[in-house]
Amino acid sequence: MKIWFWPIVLGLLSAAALLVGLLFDNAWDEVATLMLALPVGVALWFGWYRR
Amino acid sequence: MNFRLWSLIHKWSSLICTLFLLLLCLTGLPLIFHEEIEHLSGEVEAPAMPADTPELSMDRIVAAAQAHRPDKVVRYLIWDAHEHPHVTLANMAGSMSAPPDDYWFVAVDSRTGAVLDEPNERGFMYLMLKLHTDLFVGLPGLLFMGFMGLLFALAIVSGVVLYHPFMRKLDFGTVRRRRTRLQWLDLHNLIGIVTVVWALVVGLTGSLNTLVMPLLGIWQGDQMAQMIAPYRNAPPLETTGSVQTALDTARHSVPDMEVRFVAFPGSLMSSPHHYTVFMRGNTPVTSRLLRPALIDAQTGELTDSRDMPWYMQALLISQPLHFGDYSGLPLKIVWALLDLLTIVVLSSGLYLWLKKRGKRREELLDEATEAQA
Repeated sequence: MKIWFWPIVLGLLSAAALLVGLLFDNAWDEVATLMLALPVGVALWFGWYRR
Repeated sequence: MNFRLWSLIHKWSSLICTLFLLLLCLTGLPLIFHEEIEHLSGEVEAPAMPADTPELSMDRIVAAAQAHRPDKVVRYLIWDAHEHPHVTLANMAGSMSAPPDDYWFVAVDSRTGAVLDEPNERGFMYLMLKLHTDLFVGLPGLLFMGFMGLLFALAIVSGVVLYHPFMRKLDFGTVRRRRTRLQWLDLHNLIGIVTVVWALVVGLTGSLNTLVMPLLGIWQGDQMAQMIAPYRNAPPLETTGSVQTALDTARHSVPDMEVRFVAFPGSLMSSPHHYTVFMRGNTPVTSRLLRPALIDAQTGELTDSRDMPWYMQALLISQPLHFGDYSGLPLKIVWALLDLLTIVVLSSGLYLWLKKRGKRREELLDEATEAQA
């Protein structure tokens, strides 16, 4: 189960971001953007910055 | 889990779609920012006038477009009060029955009737759009790209299944940098798994969008046919009535909605006897949906107005999820970054396939899981 913990967390966050952005306006747009930016940040951190 | 079977599925679904997916990612990148690019490249705007300047009757706008291009007829009038205030975009063609691709835009100032521009240059963004959608071959191209999107979804699902055997001895986020091939394998797995939901949603909504013409056809044979059934034996229109009256009737009959565009009698999106006024709501979701109001073109009275059926609603709601245009520039930037990460996943996948040819897949798995960081 350990293998799937972070993928599931990031997957749920992405799905929530897509829905929140679609269903609500204004401040929620920024929340959605930040939530969807998280997988990007994780990919960049582990993929390139952490040596 | 049948490792061999899933490897085969992953290999072949990916191999077939990768080059097209690379094309989609590259052409999609500028398309994400099409509004910004169009603004920067000097798309025409209505000149500044006092805010309370009234708009003309749309019949005068039609007459202005018609006078400017006497050899063409107006098929649609389109508005976007947020992006292009006070501009009416007339979609004209040589005849009502000309193919949908045969259009000529005339932008008219809604307050003065002055022709502002004829935005028909088929430049860079047009090229990107065609390469992203139908590859210049119309419906077959669209459906082909839709099929590539489905293969992409299959590649993603099989990739998720394969994530487990490759990662079972590694911590999340491990990237082994001592050997190039292992490094790209780890990057492929890492980036693939963290972007999986976004990639699946954008891939599947893209595939759904390729069905726009068939779904419109079904809608016409289904809901549209029901609404215009009383007119089945009506004689053809001799002259069409006022489009402004049709717009007024639509606004009055469907309050709290904004007119997005109107299809003229005889055009693809209407009937031979009606103006069809397409309205949108004012909440984040309903602003994406369309509600048609059929107005008798002769009398200006409402014939019928219904919410679109579920398959049209699904198509319309899938569009923002594909375009990433429902929030603002920051979301578009994140969308572009995810697009770039997908390019990394696609090209690393291709690289890994080129490097491993000739080796048995079980050997590769052993090597990949046992060589620790």
